[in-house]
Amino acid sequence: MLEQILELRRKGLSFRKIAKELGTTVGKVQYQWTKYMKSLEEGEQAADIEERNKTEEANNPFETSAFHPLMKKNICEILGNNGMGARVAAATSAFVFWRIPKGKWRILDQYYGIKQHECTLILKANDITSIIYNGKNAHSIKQMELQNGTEYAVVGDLQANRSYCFEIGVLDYYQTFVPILQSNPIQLPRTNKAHAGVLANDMEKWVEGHLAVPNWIEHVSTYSYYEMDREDVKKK
Amino acid sequence: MNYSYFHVVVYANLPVANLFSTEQNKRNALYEKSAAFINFLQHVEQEKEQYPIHLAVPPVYYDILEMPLFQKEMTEFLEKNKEAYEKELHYWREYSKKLNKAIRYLLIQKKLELLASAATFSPLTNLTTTKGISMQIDKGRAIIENLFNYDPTGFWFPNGSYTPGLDLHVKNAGFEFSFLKGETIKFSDPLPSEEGTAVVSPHGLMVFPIEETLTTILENKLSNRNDIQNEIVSIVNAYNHYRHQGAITMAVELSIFTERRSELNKGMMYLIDEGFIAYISPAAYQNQFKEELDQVHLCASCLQTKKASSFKEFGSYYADAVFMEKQWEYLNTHDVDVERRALAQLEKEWLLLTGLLVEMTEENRELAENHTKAAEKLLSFLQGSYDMEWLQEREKKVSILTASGMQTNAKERLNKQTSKKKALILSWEYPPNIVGGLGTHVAGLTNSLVKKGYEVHLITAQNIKLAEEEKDEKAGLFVYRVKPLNSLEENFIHWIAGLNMRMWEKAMELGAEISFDLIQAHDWLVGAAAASLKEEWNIPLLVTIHATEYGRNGGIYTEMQKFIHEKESQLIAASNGIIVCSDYMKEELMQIFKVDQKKIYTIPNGIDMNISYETTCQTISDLPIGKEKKVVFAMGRLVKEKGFGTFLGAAKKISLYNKDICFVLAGVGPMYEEYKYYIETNELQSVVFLIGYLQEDQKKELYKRADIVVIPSHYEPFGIVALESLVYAKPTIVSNTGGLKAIVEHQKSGIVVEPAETQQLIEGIEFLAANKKRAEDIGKNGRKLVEQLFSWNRIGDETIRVFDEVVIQHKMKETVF
Repeated sequence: MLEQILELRRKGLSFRKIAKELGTTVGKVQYQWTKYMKSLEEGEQAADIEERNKTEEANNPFETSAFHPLMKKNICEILGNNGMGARVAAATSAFVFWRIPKGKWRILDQYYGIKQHECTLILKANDITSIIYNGKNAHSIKQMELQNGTEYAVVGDLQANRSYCFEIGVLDYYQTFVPILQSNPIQLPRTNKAHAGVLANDMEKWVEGHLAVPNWIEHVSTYSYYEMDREDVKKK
Repeated sequence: MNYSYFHVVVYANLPVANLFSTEQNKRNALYEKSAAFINFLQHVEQEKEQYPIHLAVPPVYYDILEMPLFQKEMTEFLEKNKEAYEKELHYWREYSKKLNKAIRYLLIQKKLELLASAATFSPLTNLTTTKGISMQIDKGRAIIENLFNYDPTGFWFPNGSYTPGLDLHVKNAGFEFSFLKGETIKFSDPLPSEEGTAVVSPHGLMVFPIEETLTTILENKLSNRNDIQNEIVSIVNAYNHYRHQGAITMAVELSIFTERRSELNKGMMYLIDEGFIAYISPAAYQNQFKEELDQVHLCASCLQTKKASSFKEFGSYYADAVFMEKQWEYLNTHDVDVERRALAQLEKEWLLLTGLLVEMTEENRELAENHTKAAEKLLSFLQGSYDMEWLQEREKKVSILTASGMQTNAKERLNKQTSKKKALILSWEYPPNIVGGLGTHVAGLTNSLVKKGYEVHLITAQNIKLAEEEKDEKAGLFVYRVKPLNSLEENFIHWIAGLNMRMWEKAMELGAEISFDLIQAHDWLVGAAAASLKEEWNIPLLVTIHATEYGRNGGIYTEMQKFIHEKESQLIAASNGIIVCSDYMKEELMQIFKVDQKKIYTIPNGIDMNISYETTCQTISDLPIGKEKKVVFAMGRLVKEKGFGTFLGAAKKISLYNKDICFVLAGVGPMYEEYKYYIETNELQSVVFLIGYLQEDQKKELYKRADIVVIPSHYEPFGIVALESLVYAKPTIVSNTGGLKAIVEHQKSGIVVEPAETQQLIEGIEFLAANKKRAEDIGKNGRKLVEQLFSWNRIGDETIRVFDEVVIQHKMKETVF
């Protein structure tokens, strides 16, 4: 009842009008109000919290079992059905694979009206040699249309010694690319001596111990390289 | 004369997974290869090669050699084909079917050195987690250590598959050296100062170059010992080593070695005798030359590039292995309640599947299928109920590494599950990213909720200049700031789509450890993620609508507005309940979206009762106002209906006779110039100050300094501004209009005057200026009023009531059906 009284009070009703509205007596309304005022004055807040917490622990109608089955389902969904990866396949090609969870398809459907089983998939190869990719700064981009339902591809015609990361996404109504997942970065192999030299400086610094983090792409890196905002991380 | 050191590596991709095929002929393929292996061991034992051979096979093969099933079927196989395998059968029997004994003997004789590798020969480049990589490497090593009491210091990358970074994992596992395709070392960065020697990888692993020309020659059936010799000599001469640290490595597949070994041997013997080449153990080489080796970056590499068709045809298995690994890794590192046997079996299936990937063919597709299906089944158990019968069967059928057993690692304990109710709140705005009132509202709300015992997990957008972060803001309140993949996207609609997808991901990650009772979404911006999660988890969704596009624009006119309006509709439809801040909004929703009023809850915006007393700014000291003066303060958007004209009129009159009072008006708007003109023409510059837009702390300063606050609106549907001044316990004069009149009691919690009545306003100001004690009391009462009706403490309670109601309704619906 107190909540209702407060609500009506906020609308500017007098106690008499409130009593009428709630179908009770003025006395009862005033009693509730006075009680509430007193609790505010006595700074009961702290005690309030404690009490509430105690009673909650005691008779919580919502039981929370330690390992709810839904939790495991979420683990499997987020790790087993969501993600993208890239591997070096040859000097000029990469193997790229992905899984898009239905939760994301739901978002695309609700937001853009894009249907999982009807849309065209777009695979984007971004040349990110010597830079940290921020979504917009690739040196060059190659975009490929894939058949609906595809979950992996071999991307050829890439350049040796260049680094790439890939994105899988869809096109919206206006043909703009909407990225859904992004792969790890890979560096394609060097195939001749001319390719060497780019990392000479970094290697020297690394060997001398001046770099805390390697300034090149590493597989399953134990450094959180791409999340760091460091001066010694090179951005060309 | 130049000479060089050399090593010979023999590797065999023995088809260990075939042991678990149900078809005899597939298993026979393993036995056939094993017979060839026996032949090899025999050769090594009998021949007097002056150098040990470095052998690389899947370590799990050694484990299989111990298995009774293998020994039994191998015996049968040899006996059945005894004409072809007479020698092998003899050797097999000599060692009582235990080939590992033979290997042990050869190790002691130093005729053989073992190279460790990934347990099932899975190319490390296919693995995806640190734990996965170290597990495969460690298991491989453990098998060799346990069975042979041998400490391998060399590591073999299956198929020579390498990518930068793997050297760290191999080095960390305790290995000192390895081998890679010569071309990779030739094109290292920087270029090696001398070709044909070992180099050191960035993480300190010594790597010997494999001479591919030798492999080619050996593979050519027509070549003979002379060809081999000549090639080696030309290699030795080509590399001019001043310090004699050349190292030639021949890496040959076992079947080729067996076929060509007699020619090879003859050639090698000659060269060794003549002094062109000499064997050195890698350890000795390292000791001798380690100071002089170049440390270089080595690029991605492999011995035999797979045809593109391999990935095209079997790509799904590579992908399956990766997603399997991620789940395995999580379940192994987090204290999740899963059946240990199922997890152990999952590990085995994954090990065998990844081992197959080193050489996928149509023949072993079925085997790959086998393991993929089994892994899927095991993962489904972990989510639901276990089929123990099936598990038992499978354990028997696919049993490797039963001897080595599973290590019980320390696992990360999940956050202790409390019995608190847990809310997931999505809001695109949250301090310090404040654009409008939404962020402030959510901040106040979350604070209140946690004070009242809720556990709140809030996901919001991070500033694009910063990295994502997770923070325990205070006890019970966890804030996750995320960035979409397309965080630099300029198109707002696309940016929001990306944000929703990232929020969904984050929420799902949290959902792995937390069981939420409800989701709350603020405005349409986070609606797609909220609706998707609601469907995923089947828990109630509450939406707080702060404003509508329709209401903002007085209708829907552009494409963008139409889009947003549609998103609002969808979110409203998906929600179990909607919270709005006023009945006005409630009416708006009912009218525009035809929402059932039972679904709408009106809870006014709360206000923060805390006012900090730090004086940091100088807005006031910049103004020429003496400390003894009384300050009358008003603020708001400078539009006609806010009634500041009346305020200025009163100021003008009062200033004629009362020099102790001055007036400050803050805010910007269309009336600014007019008010400025008024002040100038009436020469009020020393008494009335028009100070423009105020930042948060400047505003606080003014409220603190003010002696009297005036809200002279002619029309006020009642916004937060009105509450703010009351919070500062300043005696406030309000217009008898709109929402204000309902709240303030004249002479008790404020002074109420008729709108646009200048004389009444003057009287009010003078009364408060003259009666200090009364003014103080009135101010205090005003603050109490706000506290009673609008404090977050109160609003929090009401919000929780709505939360609880919606959750109960939802549960009831669930149990009915």
